[in-house]
Amino acid sequence: MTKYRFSKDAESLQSLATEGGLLADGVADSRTTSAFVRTHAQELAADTEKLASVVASTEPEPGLVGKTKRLAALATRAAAQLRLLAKHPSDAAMATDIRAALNHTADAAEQLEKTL
Amino acid sequence: MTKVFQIALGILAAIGGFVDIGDIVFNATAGATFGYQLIWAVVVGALGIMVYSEMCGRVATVAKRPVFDVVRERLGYKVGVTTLCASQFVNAMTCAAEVGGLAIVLRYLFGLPYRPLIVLAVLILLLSVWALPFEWIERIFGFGGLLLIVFAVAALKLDPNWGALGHGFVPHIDTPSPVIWAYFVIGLLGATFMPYEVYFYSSGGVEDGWVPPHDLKLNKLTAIVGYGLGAVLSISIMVVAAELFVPKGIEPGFLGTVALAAQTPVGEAGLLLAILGMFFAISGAAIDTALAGAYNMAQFFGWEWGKYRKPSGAPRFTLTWIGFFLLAFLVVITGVDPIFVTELSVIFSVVALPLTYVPILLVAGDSSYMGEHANGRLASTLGWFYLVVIAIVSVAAVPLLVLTNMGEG
Repeated sequence: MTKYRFSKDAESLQSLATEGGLLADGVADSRTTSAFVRTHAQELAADTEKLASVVASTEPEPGLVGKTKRLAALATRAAAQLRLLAKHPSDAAMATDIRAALNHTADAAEQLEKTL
Repeated sequence: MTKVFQIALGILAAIGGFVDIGDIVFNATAGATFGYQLIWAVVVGALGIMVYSEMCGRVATVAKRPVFDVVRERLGYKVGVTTLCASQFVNAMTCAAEVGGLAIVLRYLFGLPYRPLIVLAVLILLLSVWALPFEWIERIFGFGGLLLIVFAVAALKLDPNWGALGHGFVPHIDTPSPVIWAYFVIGLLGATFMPYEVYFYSSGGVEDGWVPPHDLKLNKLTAIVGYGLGAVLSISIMVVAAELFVPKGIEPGFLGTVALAAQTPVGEAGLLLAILGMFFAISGAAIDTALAGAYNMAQFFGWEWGKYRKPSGAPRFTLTWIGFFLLAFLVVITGVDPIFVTELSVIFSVVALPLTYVPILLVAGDSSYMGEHANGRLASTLGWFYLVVIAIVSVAAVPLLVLTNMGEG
């Protein structure tokens, strides 16, 4: 894992988590459909799981070991939130919590990238 | 009202170049990456495809010769076969991507598993082309695709920065990544010149029974309005992505991301209109490519062709478009990413691009074919200018694709 790669992966996680937050936002405000949320949350979860697995399996440059572990953990957590959203695509209360968790993950990924 | 229906051919042909599965995501990514900076590329591309579609529609109307008829005659058998092979490969890959895209859209609508929906998508396409007359295919899928106008509504609701939007119509570079900028410019231009649009358009003119001189005006109107609307849809998606995704740092990678961009400002109705618009636009693009593939084969080898004939009256033509849908099914059922397939088809379209557009320009300017309807000074100048643009796209597309890792950097 190079600094460049880390930065790109952190950006990807930020993007996926923010989009997941936006999707959850629609559920929380009843502005979407269950079929769309289920399908799109699954797509985002699959990509986030792939990202988590790639980040976790790379050999980081010295100085990036801790950050890489943290990024992988954040991606794993985001993927779990997205799977939860896919499983409960019309639960507004749960979507509110998921939105908060995903937005928090997006912020954390952005902060991690800024520490480079 | 009749006029409105008559321009459906232009709208359906334009959908393939501006809002098919690859373009929907590509336009959103362009907006999310460069804001309004690349709007001008859509405008330049739209003017170019208007010029060439008008030309090939005019040739089809006056000389009754659609594009592949002209390609074979002007380029000879060997070069013609090369053009045919490259074009058919692009048609087949794009058709596969559209079938996959249609299955994804059906998933967004019904939430069912992907693979059974591929079967449903192919059945919908086969039945539509088999059962509907050509003019109803144009109307249903052309006008249905216009539901994507919801992105223009979404763009207005997001209250865009009009100054920056206006500046987007002027070519300029404001980025630390000029190579990626160039990749997106070439991608947007290349998409608008995808050869199957003119194959479909010129053959559609013959299907619609255009005759001179009355239908020459209709041809001009159809090319301008159809591709103009395609450009408006394309720019609307770019604007929504610029307004919504740039501040949030979202990189669109799915059709769903683009649909979400309509839902955020417009609500559930916006989401449904966006998904339905995608359904008609992607179905229309799939039909464009399958029929274009059948038109090309029939015109090159001199078979009977046309949707206006019964299937028994043009059996090889009918079997070819059916074959295209079945081939598309076999490709996407493997699980390959449809958006990746469209990006890959760009590589093969660079071979077909100049070999398709050069013969159109030559024949449209040849007064022994076209008589008084041959290209005038304006059409000729624009035609040669855009041929240079097409040549640049052809030369630059593959190196930029490799250099930028498909725009990923």
